[in-house]
Amino acid sequence: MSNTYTDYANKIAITVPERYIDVKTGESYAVSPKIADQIEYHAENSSLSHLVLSALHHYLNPKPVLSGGSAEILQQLADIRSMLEDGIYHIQSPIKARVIKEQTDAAKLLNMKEVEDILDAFGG
Amino acid sequence: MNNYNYFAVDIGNSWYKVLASDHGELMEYQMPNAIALYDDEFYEKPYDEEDIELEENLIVEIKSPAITNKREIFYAGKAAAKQRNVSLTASNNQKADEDRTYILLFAAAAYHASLINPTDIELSYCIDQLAVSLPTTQYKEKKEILKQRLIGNHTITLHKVPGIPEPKELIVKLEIKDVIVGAEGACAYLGLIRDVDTLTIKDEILVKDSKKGVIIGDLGGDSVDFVGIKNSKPVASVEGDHFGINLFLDTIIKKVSKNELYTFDSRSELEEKLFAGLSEWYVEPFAGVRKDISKYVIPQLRIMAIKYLEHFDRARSSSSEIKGASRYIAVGGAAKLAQTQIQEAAVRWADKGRPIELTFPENLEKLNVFGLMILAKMNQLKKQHENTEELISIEG
Repeated sequence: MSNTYTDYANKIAITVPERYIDVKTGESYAVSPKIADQIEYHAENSSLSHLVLSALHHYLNPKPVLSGGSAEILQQLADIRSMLEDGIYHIQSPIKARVIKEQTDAAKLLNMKEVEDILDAFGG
Repeated sequence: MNNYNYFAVDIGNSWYKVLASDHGELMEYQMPNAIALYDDEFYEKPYDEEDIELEENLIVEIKSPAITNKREIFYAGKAAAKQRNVSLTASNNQKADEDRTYILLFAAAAYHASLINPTDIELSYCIDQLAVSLPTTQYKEKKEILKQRLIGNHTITLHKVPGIPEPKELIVKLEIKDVIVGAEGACAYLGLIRDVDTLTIKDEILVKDSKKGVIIGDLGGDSVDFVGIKNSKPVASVEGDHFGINLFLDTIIKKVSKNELYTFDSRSELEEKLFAGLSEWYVEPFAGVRKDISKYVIPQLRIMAIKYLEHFDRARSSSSEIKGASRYIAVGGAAKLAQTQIQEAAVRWADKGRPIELTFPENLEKLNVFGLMILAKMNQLKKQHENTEELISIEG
C-alpha cells in the first residue's frame, strides 16, 4: 500500500511505495518504518525538501575511504587495548557475532533446564 | 524473545486483566467480565462520536470454532456493563466451557489489535504465545479443553466502531499459534519472584523463604485459591470454596438500591468506586444529592475479611507440606480492596494465639497476569530451544 506525504508549504509531495528500487544497484528493498516516520515528520514540519536533498547528498557523494591510513592504525590500537583489558583476544567473525546476538538475552541468563522445570510446575 | 507477540489474560470473575507484548512493547488493559446481547433497536447513536471510546462501545461478533452460537452479537466489557441486560459471572461458573470466556478473550485481543493498527479496518493479528489462567479447582480437568478451543483462527467483527465510516465495521483476523495455561495463585508467585522482561529472579529473599514454604491466598471475584509453594514449586493447592468479593458486592448493591434509591449498572461500577478510595464512596441518586455508602461497604468488607482469614487458616492446617510456611501472601484485587479490614481481622487471630500475618505485595492485583506473561515467554524460549536442537541433530 503506498502512502502520499505532502509538504503544502513548499509544494512538495512524495508517494512512498511499500518497496523501492535502489537506482544504483537495481535491487529492490522494503521501505523501513524509520524512513516512513522521517518522511512523515518532515512533511508535517515543512522540511521535506531538506530531508530529500540531504538523503540525495549522502547517496551521491562517495564516502571517505576508511581502510588504510589512520583508520587502520586506530583499529589496531583498539585491538591491542581489548587484548590488554580481557587478557585474551579472540577474533569474532561478523557472522558469529550475529548468531550470538540473535539468541535472546533471556536465554543467556536462564538455564534451559530451569525453564522446563518452571513450565512443568506452573503451566501446562 | 522480543520478536514474538505474547498475550497474557487473567480470566478473572470480575475483571479480565490483559498484558500484551508486541515485539517487546508491553501494554496493559483491564475489562469487566460482563457481556450483554446486542439489540440493534435499542442502540443509542452517540451524540458526538469523537467523545466515544472504543472500549466503551465494544460490540462484537465472533466466528470461531470455539463458540457455539456464532450468530449473536454482544456488547463486551465496559460497553456491556452499562446495558440493562448485562450478564455477569455466576458463582461456580466453568470458565473453559462457557462461550462468554471466548467472547471476552477474543474481544480483548481484537481491541488490542485495533489499538496498535489504528488506521486499518481489516487487519490480521497473530499471537505466537497466549497464556491464560484457570482457578485451581478447574485447572487439571479443563486446561486441555481451553487450549484446544483457543488455538487456531478466529474472526472478530467489531460493529459500530466510532471514527470509522459506514458500515462502521472493523474486522480482525486473529491467529493463535500456541496456548499455555497456568493456575491462578501459582502464577502470582512467578510474578512475584521474576522480572517480566528479563525473566530473571528479582526477589531472592522470597525464593529463600520458599525453602520453608510460602502460602499464597488469591482472593478474587468468585473464588479464593490457596497455593502452597516449597522450594519455588507449587506443592499443594487447596481448593478454596466458591467465595469471593462478588457476593459482597451484590449485597452492597442491593442495600444501596433499597435504602438510597440508587442502582448500580454493574458490579464493576461499584468496584471502580471502591478502588478509587474512601473519598469516592458516595452515590448521587438525584442531582446534587450525595449519599454516603461507606456504611454499607465497610461491614461487608469486614465480613469478607474474616471469612478470608478463616479460609486461610483452614488451608494452612489442611496440608502437612505447607504447615510450617514462613510467609503468607495476599494477592488478588479483592485482597487489595479489603486490606485494612483483613489486617484488622488478623489482630483477632493473633489474640487467639494463631497469628496470620499477611504480606500485601506491590501490584497484588496484577501478579497473576505478570506470572502468565512470564510463562508465555518461557514457553516460547523452550520451543525455540527445541527447534535449534532439532536443526543441530539434522545437520549432524
